[in-house]
Amino acid sequence: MSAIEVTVERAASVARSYRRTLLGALALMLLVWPFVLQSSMLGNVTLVFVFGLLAFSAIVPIGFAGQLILSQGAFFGIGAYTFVKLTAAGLPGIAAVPVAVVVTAGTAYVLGWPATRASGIYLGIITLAFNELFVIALNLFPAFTGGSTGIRSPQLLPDAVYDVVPSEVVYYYLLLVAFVLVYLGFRRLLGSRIGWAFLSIKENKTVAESIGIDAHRYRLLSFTIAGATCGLAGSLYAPLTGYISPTVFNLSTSIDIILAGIIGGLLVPIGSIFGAAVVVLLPDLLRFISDFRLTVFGVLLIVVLIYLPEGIGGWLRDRLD
Amino acid sequence: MAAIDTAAFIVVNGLIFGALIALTAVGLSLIFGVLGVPNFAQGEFAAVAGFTVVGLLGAGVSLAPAIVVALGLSCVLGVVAERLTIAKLYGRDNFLLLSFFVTFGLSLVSHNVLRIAFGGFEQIPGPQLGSIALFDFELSVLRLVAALIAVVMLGALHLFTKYTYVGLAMRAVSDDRQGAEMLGIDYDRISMVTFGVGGLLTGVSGILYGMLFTVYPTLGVSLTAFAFTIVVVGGVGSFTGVIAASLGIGIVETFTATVVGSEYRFFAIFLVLFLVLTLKPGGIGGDVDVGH
Amino acid sequence: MAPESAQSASTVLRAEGLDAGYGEVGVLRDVSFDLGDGEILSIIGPNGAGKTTLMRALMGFVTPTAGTVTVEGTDVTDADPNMRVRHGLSLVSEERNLFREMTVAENLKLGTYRSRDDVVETLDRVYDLFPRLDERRDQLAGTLSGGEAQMLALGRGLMMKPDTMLLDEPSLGLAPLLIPELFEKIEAINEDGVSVVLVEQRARKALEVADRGCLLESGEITLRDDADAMLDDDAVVEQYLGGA
Repeated sequence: MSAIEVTVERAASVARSYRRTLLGALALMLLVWPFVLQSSMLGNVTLVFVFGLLAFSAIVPIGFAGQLILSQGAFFGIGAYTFVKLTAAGLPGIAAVPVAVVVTAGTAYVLGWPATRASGIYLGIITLAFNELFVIALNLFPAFTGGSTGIRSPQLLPDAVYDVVPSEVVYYYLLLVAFVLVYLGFRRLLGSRIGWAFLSIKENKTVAESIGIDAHRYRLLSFTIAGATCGLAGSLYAPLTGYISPTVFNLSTSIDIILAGIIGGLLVPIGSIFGAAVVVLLPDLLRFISDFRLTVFGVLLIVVLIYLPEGIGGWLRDRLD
Repeated sequence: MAAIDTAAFIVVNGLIFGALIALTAVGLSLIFGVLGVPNFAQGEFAAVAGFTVVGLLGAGVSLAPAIVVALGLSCVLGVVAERLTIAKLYGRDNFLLLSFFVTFGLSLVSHNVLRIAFGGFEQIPGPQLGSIALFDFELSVLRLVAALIAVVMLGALHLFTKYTYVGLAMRAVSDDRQGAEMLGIDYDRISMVTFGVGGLLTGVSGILYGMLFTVYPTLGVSLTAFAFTIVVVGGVGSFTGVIAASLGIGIVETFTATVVGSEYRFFAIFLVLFLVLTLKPGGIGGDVDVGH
Repeated sequence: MAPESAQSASTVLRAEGLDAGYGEVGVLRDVSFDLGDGEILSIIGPNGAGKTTLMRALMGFVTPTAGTVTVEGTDVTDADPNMRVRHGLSLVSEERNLFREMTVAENLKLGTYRSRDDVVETLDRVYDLFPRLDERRDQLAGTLSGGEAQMLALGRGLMMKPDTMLLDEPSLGLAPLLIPELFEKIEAINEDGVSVVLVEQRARKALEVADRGCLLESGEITLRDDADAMLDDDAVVEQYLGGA
């Protein structure tokens, strides 16, 4: 074992013994640091939580149910644009969020019904095409969507709130709560019979069906859940950034989302936050080599895929458990 | 232009374009069919080959040797990429997904390096062959020759897979991998050959494209999008299906660019893809097992 | 149980102490046998005993967790299937693994992938042995009937000019009328000099055509004897030879 490995192992064993304390410190930090961090940094962290939510839409269908889907960007966009149109029409932000989630979930359900009958690369391509069509459609109907220049988004909560607490702080806590709740929900779901059914279908569809699992139903379920999660993220993202445009929701974003899932570990729910952190924060950190940024990203992706099959989340889990 | 002339223009140019992209699509069909790798970086072989020619021409090398070097490079890069990345994934769970994303990473690296090294649009000055009058438009003879070259290459590939041991072995591996191994066929070797051949065909596609149109750093991504559409519509295992789909897609693309407007090209392609897949999840030509 | 025959130059295939299985499920335990040059060894036993796992382990599709496989004196335990072919070993599998989208002729030609001399003569000999394949040269392998497919699988194995053939349940799915012909062909192949390990459900036929036999039950070899002796053994007769 190299010196690096020995050091890492030492650090990990220390961390293991102080696990409770560390978790407590982490929780405290998460609650307190909005008051410590600079507002731009806070904005970035909040964005990490958004992507953490989005990463679940890679973890659940791709990691657990074994479906290659590429339409996360479009679902993200449907959530965002639905929020904007609803709030612009007068619906309070708090109500617009769940409606946006339902609308996105509904779209995913309708698309998923025929689409999840295909599998393998075909499902991937259908969802890829859907994502591309969505973005193109946004550009083709500017009267409704603001076209390629985009559209402004109203705030989530009534203005009165922002007079008391700065909006960055409000959104931080909102996204923190949303992420934690969704994470706990998924941990429960994926540890349940449903999660087991997903894995069985991924493993071997024929065998799963022979013991009575309706593969199509579960595939559709995982697809719809992915859509709903993206819809939630989108409906929170729009008021967070205040402005949305079609390029935010293109195929590149779907890929980023899946990357976040892979880097965090596709079978490791908590990995979502690590993957999200890398995808959101790394480009910023690599800013100084901006020309080579994407190249470095590409190399990083390949290296992680080949050498870290369980992602960062899985790696940590193996060390710290 | 009268309707018949427009139709002729669209069909002729569409078929020519279709023949060119068929080379890339067949390359992808080989790699996906034989090895199960949905190669997102397929089009990059074209872009790299095209830019290599441009670079060599700029350095004073003449056209023919530049083309030879570029094609050799396409071939070698294919094999190197396979050995360094894809080969490390054999036997893993989620191979389809992993190889898709690894090739995505390769595509990212490739088109960004090209962008950094070359910057923008370039054209490969092909031989000046004049043009002929067809209906009421002029058709460059170079275009016809390019299409012919594409056809010849596809024919050569067909013969290769029908009459040579290696070609038959490639078909065998795509048909039944264990059966092939039982006959002493070395999967690793076939894997390298498949990537090499796929890279070569796509490289030719890129050079011809560069002569007829232009090469640009994201050419690879566009060609990959076309190739995936074609392979899916035509059916993975089916050579004739892929050729037919290429010609069809070529005509759709030219039709959209001519009649509707060139911004709508990709929309039309994706629409076709989307419709075909939703109506017939296995594609049109091939008889592929849709459930994995 | 130690192998009985002495370490001799005429042993073409030897398995010693093989443990093998799939993941955590062990199938074979301490399996040993050897095959002499020019012999037919039949391995019989009930369904699920591990006969196919044994064939796959011998060919390299399953890696044993213990034990060795030796082909013509060379240890091939860690070798890939295509390496074992180079040592003269060939498998005709239970599922046959034919190339369904390719013609009969193409399937046969691929059999010569590793031994490309005298292709025409070998092909003639195979067509002599299986005239029906000659009639169907250009037919797609996926459209052949059960019997024809079995012949193609055997023929393709023969095209490899192997020294040793592993035949896994060749009579599976064959119409009963074709069974005698199948075993005649197996004898003819053996007379040509090919050593054979035959795994069969049809225990009687398998022992009639064999020189020696093994009984594989629940992953272990429980009996090892001359084939004639096994045909007369009361216990074997009662359990396995009642039917076929």
